[in-house]
Amino acid sequence: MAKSYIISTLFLLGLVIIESSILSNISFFIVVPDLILIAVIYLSLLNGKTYGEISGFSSGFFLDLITGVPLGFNCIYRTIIGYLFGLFSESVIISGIIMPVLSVSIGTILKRVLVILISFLFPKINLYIYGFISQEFLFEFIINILLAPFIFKFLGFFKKSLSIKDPKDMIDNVK
Amino acid sequence: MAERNRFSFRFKISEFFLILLILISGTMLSFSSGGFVLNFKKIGFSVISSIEKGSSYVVNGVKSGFSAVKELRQLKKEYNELVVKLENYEQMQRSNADIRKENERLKEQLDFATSLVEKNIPAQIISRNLDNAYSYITIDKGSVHGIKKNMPVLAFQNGNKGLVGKIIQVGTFTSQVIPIYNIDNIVSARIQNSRDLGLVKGLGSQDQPLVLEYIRKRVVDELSFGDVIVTSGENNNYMKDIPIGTISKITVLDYNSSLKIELTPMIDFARLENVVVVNQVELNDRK
Repeated sequence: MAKSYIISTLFLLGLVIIESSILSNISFFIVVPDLILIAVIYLSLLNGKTYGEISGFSSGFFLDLITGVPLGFNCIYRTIIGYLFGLFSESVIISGIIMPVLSVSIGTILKRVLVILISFLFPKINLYIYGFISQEFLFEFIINILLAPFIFKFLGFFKKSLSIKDPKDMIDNVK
Repeated sequence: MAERNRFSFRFKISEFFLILLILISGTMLSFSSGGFVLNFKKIGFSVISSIEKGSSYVVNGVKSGFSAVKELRQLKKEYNELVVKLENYEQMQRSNADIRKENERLKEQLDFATSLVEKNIPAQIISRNLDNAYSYITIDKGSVHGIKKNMPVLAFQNGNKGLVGKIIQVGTFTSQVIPIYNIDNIVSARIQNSRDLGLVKGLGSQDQPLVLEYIRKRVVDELSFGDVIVTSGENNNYMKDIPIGTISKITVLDYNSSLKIELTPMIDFARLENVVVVNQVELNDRK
């Protein structure tokens, strides 16, 4: 179990580095695709709500450290997203194309809702918060759902290392 | 009884963790401007951004390896051209030395003095903001290279000098720059021709214009599109007369005594790769 937490944390740290040092320098991306969000959704659906919220928190913490965002901003909403997707870990099949696309599209919308809510609850945070009807959100939404099946498939190769469940107990989330 | 059980909520370890993690995040967020958390953040920033810098070097190394062959051919051609130019410059230099000496003599006579000595620290951008929530740029120079908080950051693009922003966070090997288009960055500025004083604010995205505020309505006739806005030098963050942008739109608001002026930044941030951090060292004021 501890091994799985360590591996997933390293995975998330790697994705943070990829996002911030490689993808952020590609001018085509108006908004960098949120690979970390996709990975957190995958881990939550694979391992449940406790795992999901811890993954969400740790990924948010890395992001807060590396970006100029006030510490805790990414932690809060990514923890909640991890928890909420973890609730469906035993009822959602994460293989294929439809479920990754559907779950990541819900996750991206949920992220925007929570970001707007946090900026409302913490008014002193001076951030540029874009709404649903914006070029940035539309771009982020499309690029996230396009990448979701590939990221899910890629993480699927490491399922044994990332899963905390006994493979014998798994019904659908392993292959 | 069965009805009550169906709607009961069982408090488990995951819910406990959820509340705990949200409380930790909320506390960090509330106190993120306080000393303790800021220092903690600085350490974290140093560690992770150093890893980021390493990965950036690897990517750049691979990229530059591919372009090296092409560059070599180009360099050879340029070398031959430069040899010819150098001969011309050597001749010009002799006459320049005489002019420089004469200039120094004249300066002494006019009692001019150098008030600021600027030490430039060139740096490369290694990462940018992930979304537009908080705009920042990370550069590959940190405290070991002499970078300090609030140092101004400039860039040269197409032969023009322009303001990029200022340093807000300094790590050991990397630093974070708050660009002028960040919603938090406010720069004291002047219109270069009329010398009217105002404040330049960003709107949070590099695709949006900058806004110049607090320029009186009565000067509207003196303004024209393309006028250059420069730093006023009135706060200690920036030197005087660094170009910020040019006027692209002027709006007269009935309810406001000031004009709303939109600016196109002097620097095209989408194409920005290298910057110059300026270390201002005050040496001697007017004699």
